[in-house]
Amino acid sequence: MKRKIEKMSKFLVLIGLALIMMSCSSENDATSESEMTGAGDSTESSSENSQVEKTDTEVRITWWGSQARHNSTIEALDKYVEKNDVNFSYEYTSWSSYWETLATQAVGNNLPDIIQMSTTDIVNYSKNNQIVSLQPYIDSGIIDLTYVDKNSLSAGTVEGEVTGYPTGVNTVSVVYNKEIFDQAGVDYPKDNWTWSEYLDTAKKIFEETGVQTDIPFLSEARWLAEYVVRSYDYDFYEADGSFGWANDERVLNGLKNAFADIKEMVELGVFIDPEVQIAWATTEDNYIVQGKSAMAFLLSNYYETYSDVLGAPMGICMLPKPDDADKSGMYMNANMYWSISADCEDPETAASILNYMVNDMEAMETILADRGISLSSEIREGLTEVVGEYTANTFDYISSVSEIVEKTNAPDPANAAEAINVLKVNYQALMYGEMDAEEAIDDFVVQATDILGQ
Amino acid sequence: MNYRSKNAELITKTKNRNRFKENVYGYLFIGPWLICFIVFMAIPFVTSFVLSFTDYNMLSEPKFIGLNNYIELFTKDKLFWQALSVTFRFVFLSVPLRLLFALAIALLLNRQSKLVPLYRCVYYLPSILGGSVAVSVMWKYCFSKTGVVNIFLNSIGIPSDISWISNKDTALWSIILLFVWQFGSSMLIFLAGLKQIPKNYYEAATVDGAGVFRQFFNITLPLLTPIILFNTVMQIIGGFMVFTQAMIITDGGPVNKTLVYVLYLYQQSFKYYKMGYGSAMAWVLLLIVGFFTALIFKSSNTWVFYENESKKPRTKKLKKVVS
Repeated sequence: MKRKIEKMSKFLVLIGLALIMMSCSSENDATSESEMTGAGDSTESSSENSQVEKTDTEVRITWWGSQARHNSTIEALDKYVEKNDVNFSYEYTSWSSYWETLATQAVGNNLPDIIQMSTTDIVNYSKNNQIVSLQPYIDSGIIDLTYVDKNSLSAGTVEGEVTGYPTGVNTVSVVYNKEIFDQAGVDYPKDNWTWSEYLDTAKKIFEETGVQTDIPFLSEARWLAEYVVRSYDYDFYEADGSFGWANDERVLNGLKNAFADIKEMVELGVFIDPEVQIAWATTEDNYIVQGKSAMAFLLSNYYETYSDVLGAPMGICMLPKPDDADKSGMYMNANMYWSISADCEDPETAASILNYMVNDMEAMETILADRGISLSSEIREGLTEVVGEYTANTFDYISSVSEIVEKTNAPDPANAAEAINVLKVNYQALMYGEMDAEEAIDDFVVQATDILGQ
Repeated sequence: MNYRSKNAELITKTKNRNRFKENVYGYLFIGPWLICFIVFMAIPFVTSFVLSFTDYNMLSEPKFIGLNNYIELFTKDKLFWQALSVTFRFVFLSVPLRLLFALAIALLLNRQSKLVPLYRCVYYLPSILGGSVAVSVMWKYCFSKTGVVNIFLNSIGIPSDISWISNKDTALWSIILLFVWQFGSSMLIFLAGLKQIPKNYYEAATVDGAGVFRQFFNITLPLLTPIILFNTVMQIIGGFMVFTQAMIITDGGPVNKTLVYVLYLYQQSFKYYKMGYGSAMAWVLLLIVGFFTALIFKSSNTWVFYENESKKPRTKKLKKVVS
């Protein structure tokens, strides 16, 4: 009897220990998975199952964005569920943890079926065969191109294969607060205004009203640099991923002058203090939506959200042309893409869902222009009737830009992310007074050429 | 002869079987921990070492490239040195500060009072919250231009308008402060060490006329040196691995002024898809931390005082006299 009790107690202790082990939290300084996905300014990540349990197969779809995007996307997908026999598993996060999560899933061959893809990462994922070519589904008609200009698919083409379907196009813009302009008695900017006119406008407004202007693209200097480079009639990246413009003194000087001008404006106090601007994390932090800034450089797809927060339609116009440039450097990017992963077991269903997300009128009425202006002319026409004033403004703006831009940009080459980060850091260093404009550009060119060549 | 050896064989066999039986239970008990250790520590340890000699972008198979990662790290990577310098600054500023606070508060709490357990709890609370995301986000808002810190400073008459987290001189300090604020665990260990010091030493010193400071420097501090050694080593190891705070509060900025080593490692591995390079960085960090730990241990012979060791020389002397 004693032996039995001994044996029992040994077992119980064993089980107890096992339970304690499993429930024990990890060490102090280890970062757990939930901490990774929780990082960032926006919202939580989630893995939700749709409530309608119809079939066993579940389509996993993942995207990044703000809470507003999560809401509208889920709404659009729920409408799909009502009409079709699919189950969704939504896996959405904020931008800051999206790629790490995706990469980890790629290692385990566990990628979600439909992935929202970005211009900086599509080449990596394509070349390593983590996302599949959409050509078979285009050919068979599952992805409908009736109202789409085939050339615009070049934005999602890597090595001749269309691996990402562009959700829309996007461009750079200057947004301005009309009320502040009125108060200062300054005319609204025109699309063909010049760099000097831009600086003078900012100065005049500051003198008259004391309102400052945002530093152009402090959070991502690339958008400005690409604009300047293109205005001298160069592409930002050559076909082999190198910088064709880096050898042209005109372009380099154009960039250096632009950067130096901006730094001067910061020192004069006309532009906002970089310490203040760099700390902005959410939309509401931005001065332009609080009425504390006259102008800001912005990606066009943010126009509607910003106007919404401000409470009044902001003005929108093209970037100012450098004084000695050849042409307008405006360019259009694909905003982001929908791709189908190599781990997807039923790519045909995935392709139909993809088609729904870009071509279906009902879906687009929910999502509107959040992922860019649709490639389909049918959708664009249909939406102009239902969208609000802000979105309509964005549509008009994109139309005017597309008239002067020849084609949408191809995706960035591999390793681009690291190279672009150097530019971002150097630009910020310039604003903080750690570097001057010459150094910032020269150092970027040297480092980026090295990184891109790897 | 045959019979005896066969008997001996049988005895050893039974002995072995019994020992085996006992060992099985032992292994079963440590089983859960052993599995966790192998899966989450031993295997990644070895994998990371192997990966550090490869070019691995996570989306395809790793390619063996020998020592290239290490060579590139030391010769071509400017940010590597920046990350090291930031991390060194961080460790050698925050660890002494943390230990100082821990010791000071432990001394204050080393007395019999009904409120002491409450204070212990309160001071330990920050370090339970740990290097978590929530605390870091809160800290970020506290130290921003319109955050609590500025409001507080303004209210007591110090005009303060800086954004502590985006000013290039103060950004690192905001992270150091967060690290120092979580001194609770070191404090508890110091408290335990303080309680081990026999009270009669202090009584004897008081009788001899020693003041508070004398007592502290000649009794408390020397007897605490083993604890100080332990805390120093543990905190330095932890300090080198700081990550969450730097990523959430400043994300390495502004201008890489708070780019701590592990954050840079993370960027290289996940943002730029260079997992092999990141693994090489991890092993370099291991060597650095190992170096400092060894250094501290080596130096400990001169400054750490173990009570039981002091008795040894005396007995040796006695033996000599006797013989």
